[in-house]
Amino acid sequence: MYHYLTHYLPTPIANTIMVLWYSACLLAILWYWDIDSQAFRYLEL
Amino acid sequence: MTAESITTVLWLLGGVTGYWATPARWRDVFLPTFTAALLGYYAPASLAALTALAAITWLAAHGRRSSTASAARLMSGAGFILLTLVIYRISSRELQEDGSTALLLGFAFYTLRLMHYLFEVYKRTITHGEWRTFVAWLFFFPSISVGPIHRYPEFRRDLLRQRWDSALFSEGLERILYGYVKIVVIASGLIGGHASPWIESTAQASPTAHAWLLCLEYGALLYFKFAGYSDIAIGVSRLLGFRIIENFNYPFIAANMGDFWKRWHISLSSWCRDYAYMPVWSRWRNGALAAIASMLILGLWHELSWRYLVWGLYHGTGIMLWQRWHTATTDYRQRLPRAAQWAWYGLAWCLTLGFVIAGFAITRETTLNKGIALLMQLFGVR
Repeated sequence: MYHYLTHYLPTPIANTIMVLWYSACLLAILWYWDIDSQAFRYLEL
Repeated sequence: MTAESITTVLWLLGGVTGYWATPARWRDVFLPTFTAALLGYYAPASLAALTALAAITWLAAHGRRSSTASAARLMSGAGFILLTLVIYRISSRELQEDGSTALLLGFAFYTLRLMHYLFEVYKRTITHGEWRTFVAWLFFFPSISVGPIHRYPEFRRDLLRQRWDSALFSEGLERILYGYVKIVVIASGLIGGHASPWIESTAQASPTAHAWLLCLEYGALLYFKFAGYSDIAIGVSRLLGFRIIENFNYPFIAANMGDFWKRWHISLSSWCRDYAYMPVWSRWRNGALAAIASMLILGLWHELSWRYLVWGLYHGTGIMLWQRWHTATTDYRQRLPRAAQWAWYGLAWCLTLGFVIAGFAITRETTLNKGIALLMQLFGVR
């Protein structure tokens, strides 16, 4: 993703977008973090 | 042991730090030692079973130098591993019904990798045994639990080339982040937390639409959870400097069943292509037979049950029908104007997606009868 952004945008803008994007991903993970091991059992093949 | 538990994240961090802190010539020893510690802590029975199978596979592949008896020995080894997988599948069904936690971690994926090794030794693409590399490959902790089913030659190449690569490390961190977004945010949060209650509320309004939504929900959950796990495994592998096989490549954009199986659980479908489809096709030159045989194996690998047998047949038939249709219509399609070709593609995409979503009905339910009932409900038959 960073590769494409730096191709089309100046590096400082690409860097800012990536930092915001990663932060949004991390915040979303923390928001929904819910350990439910039973729901994942079927994947332990 | 699930990827979203804090303890597992700490184990993974410890593994990556320990790997790079170990001198280069001892890293192939560090990998299996760390995995053994991880397995010994979480699933000691798994550690014993996986170690025993690794020893048997090694003896079958490199036990004696003479080449005359090697084919029989290799095939006996592969047959023995297959037998253990069948016994495991039968016993694990009973254990799951009892709610027992004594299941062997990653056993089904592990057996496919062992068989891959024996088949490649048989084909002489692996010519000499390097036991340290063999053990490091088998006990590679990022993928030991739920795959991907990565191959020995690629692993060996990356192990030999190993060096710090900050770009690869950064890619790995990004993949791990996306993996957690898929599992925690999209699958558990958005689908499980928001979409599922809404889908439940549609049951009375339209049973047919409800059935389609149930299958779509199941397929989306399966995809985002499994693709998320694969992202984490691929990401952690990259933190260690290894590029392992991708498992998903936007499967829901496929416009035919052949393409779908090149995009869905790629490491398993490519295993079935190489070790089930190709041998059958080479022997009988029959694409339909090869497709059905390989999809039956793929289905029964998931679970030894009638519903997975029917699911395998369903997808095998889908691939066979697509092969026939493709052969019959290629010339005609190529003569169509561009707009008509796009319309053809769009229709093919809708049909493929519908076929795949309908197929989820068979495995979504716990028994074949319930699955068939849900499949019928998709078409308004109750």
